Amino acid sequence: MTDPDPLDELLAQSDPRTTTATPELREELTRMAVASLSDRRAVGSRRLRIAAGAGVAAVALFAGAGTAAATGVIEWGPWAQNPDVVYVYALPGGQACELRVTFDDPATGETARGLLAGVELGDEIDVDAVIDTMRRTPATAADEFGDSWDVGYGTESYPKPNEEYAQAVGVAVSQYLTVALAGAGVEEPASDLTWAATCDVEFADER
Amino acid sequence: MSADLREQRVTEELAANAPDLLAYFERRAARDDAADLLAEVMLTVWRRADQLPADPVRARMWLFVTARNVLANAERSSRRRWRLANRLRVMLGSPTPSSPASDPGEGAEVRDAIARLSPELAELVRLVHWDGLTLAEAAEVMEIPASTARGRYQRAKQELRAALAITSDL
Repeated sequence: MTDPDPLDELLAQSDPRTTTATPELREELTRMAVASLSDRRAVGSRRLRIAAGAGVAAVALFAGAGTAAATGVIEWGPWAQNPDVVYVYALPGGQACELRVTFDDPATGETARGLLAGVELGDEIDVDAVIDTMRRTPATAADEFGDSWDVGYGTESYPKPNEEYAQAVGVAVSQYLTVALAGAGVEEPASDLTWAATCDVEFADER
Repeated sequence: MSADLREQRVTEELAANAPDLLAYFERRAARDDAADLLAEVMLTVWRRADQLPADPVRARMWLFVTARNVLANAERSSRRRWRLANRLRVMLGSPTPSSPASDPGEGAEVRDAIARLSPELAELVRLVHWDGLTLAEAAEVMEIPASTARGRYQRAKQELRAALAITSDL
């Protein structure tokens, strides 16, 4: 830009403050660039596992969503500040977890809240049964490049116990909500929800 | 190109351009959202890795186009990127000693004037004067002919000059 117009200087000065690319930030950005590949693959395998382990009507509710797990790192987003469903549970390792679900449609959220009023989700879901199904079901993941790999029980890709349990909880809660909402006349609730779970453990460290 | 080489190349391009892409989002979205949006760009790029141009300059423009599209679709997605950007979100929330200590209000009048332009003119100005792209590069990112970009750019500056002259006696 060679235009001596003082407007150019004003425009440059109006550049909003952005984060300085420190070595630490660049390191984190590089980590993200690498992690985003495995994250993309994990989404594919997670879909398969959930689809394999869930009942017919419950398959899609949480499919494609992620389970966030970290200690003192995750911050609940605005969508999770007033969730429609909250389920607190413990992993096999004893760490506490919290799962939150928010429906985009307030009417669906209201219905879910009403259905769960006075209900202890832990008494209604069968996590062990979901785990049993997950372990017995062969699963293969694939990506757009044509690569495929076995992610079933007994492989390196299969979740470690804590993550397996957290995934099973997601499926079990998904099954329960899908059936309960269908009974209340809400079909395909998966299209309008956001969910995440956070635990006092970093699953990545288990591997 | 083998899958390994492709993965290496995508990783390198993402890492090289990520600081500028992050700044792109910080200039246009809430700061908390910038980390998520960058994560969404990375996921999108991996999905379309076979489309990444071989030339580094073209690749950079392609990444900016992807960022622009992600921003446009931002309201429709918020799930998978959540986990990926957790650490970065925390880093952005904690000011670093080397962060510029500029007054957030500095330039607010000019930013307001830019925001009052039509969206197409405003984005062109931001790409050139904030993101440091040439007018030709900005045209590529906006997917419009360079001649159109030149015309819009002149019109944008005329409108800005008029608006700022009214409000700041320039």
